[in-house]
Amino acid sequence: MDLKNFTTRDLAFIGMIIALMYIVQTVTILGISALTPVEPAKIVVSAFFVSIVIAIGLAKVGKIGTFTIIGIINGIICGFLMPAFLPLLPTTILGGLAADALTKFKYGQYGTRNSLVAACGVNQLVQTLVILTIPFYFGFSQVILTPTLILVSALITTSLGAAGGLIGSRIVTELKKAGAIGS
Amino acid sequence: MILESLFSPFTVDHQEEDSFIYRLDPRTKLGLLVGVTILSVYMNNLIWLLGLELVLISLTIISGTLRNMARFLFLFFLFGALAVGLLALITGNLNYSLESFSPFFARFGIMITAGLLFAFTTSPNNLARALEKMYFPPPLSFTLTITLRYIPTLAREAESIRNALKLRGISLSAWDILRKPSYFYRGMIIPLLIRTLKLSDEIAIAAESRGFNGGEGRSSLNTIKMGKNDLTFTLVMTTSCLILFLMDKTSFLTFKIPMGA
Repeated sequence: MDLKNFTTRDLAFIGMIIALMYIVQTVTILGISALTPVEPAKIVVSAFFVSIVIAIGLAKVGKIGTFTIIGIINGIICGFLMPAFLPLLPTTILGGLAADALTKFKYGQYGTRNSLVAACGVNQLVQTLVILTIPFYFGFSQVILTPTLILVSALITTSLGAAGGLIGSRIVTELKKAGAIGS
Repeated sequence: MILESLFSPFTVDHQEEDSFIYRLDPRTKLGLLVGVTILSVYMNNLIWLLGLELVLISLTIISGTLRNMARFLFLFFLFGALAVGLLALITGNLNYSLESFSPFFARFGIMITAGLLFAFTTSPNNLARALEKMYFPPPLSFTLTITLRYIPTLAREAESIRNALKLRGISLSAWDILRKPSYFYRGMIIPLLIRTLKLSDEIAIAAESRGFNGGEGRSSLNTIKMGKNDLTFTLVMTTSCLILFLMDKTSFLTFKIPMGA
């Protein structure tokens, strides 16, 4: 990832997009908390809305490395400040790297609908697999968190992430028509 | 509920608290966070894990942040109690449930307490400065600063949009979000996004007009540096952790629990 490719405008927009991700995530999680106290359910539902915002950010910037930057900044804030939960740092970075790698090899750059859908889906898949595997290093019981449950959760979040990417790409089309984002 | 209040404890600048822990270099506290997390993974004796947790709780008392952290720790322990209760119900064996979860919750408790101690005693600006000192790329440091600066601003914007929606008779309940996600993204995300686009353009224009070149060679009026206090703190904590680790490995006061049962 060459950071020199990113202009001040790109960096400022990525920073704002990450801030927006937080707002959306918090509002969604607060809403879902009223319905269920189960933590994975909150993560699963927020995956959809967060992916919409990420997809818009990716489509606007369009450069490979954007997802990794989002992952690094998001990881620093999640790992050290907001939930102050250290395992989120490697989780978000790996998710971003995986999405960037896939897009670079398959699509070249962000912008097309398929690239946004695939990137958001892969990011959620890697994040869920990593975050649900980390508890085992801390001695979590495999009676409750079984490999099947991890796979099912990963598949659900991947589908919701991809759906979020799809909706995000549609919003980008609308925003382009409205002139808010350059075509 | 005011959305901004959810973020401000972490995102606004901390008042200069008159506490030893607040004045420590963020890199020292970062070292403590990573160190105790790794140490907790290699310790197996529950008593010494709880000993490490007590050391961290003592630090939060010294820093005067225990009261602020109490609700987060309470939620964590509530989750722990629920998990133990659930497994006890499934297996019909409370002892088995306690044995399965105790090491996990002891280790996670250590990590969460250390994380909260760092979060409540380090201002985001100091964290950004510390990362710069650790050779974090300047463009990423710029992005991090923007994110931390604009989370409360966007939270205020989101609150205004939500109030505007309420005035028009659209109250976004959890059920509405699930039933009609379009209400949420058309009513909330798109207006926020348009605002975000305008704000980011304004920031970029302001930065470029002042000769900003991605943050290379950027200086700061307030700088951070390691001092005697950091050295003393590091020495004391390293010694304490080493003693706990040796106690754990020499099986002094044995109360071992099966790993990941």
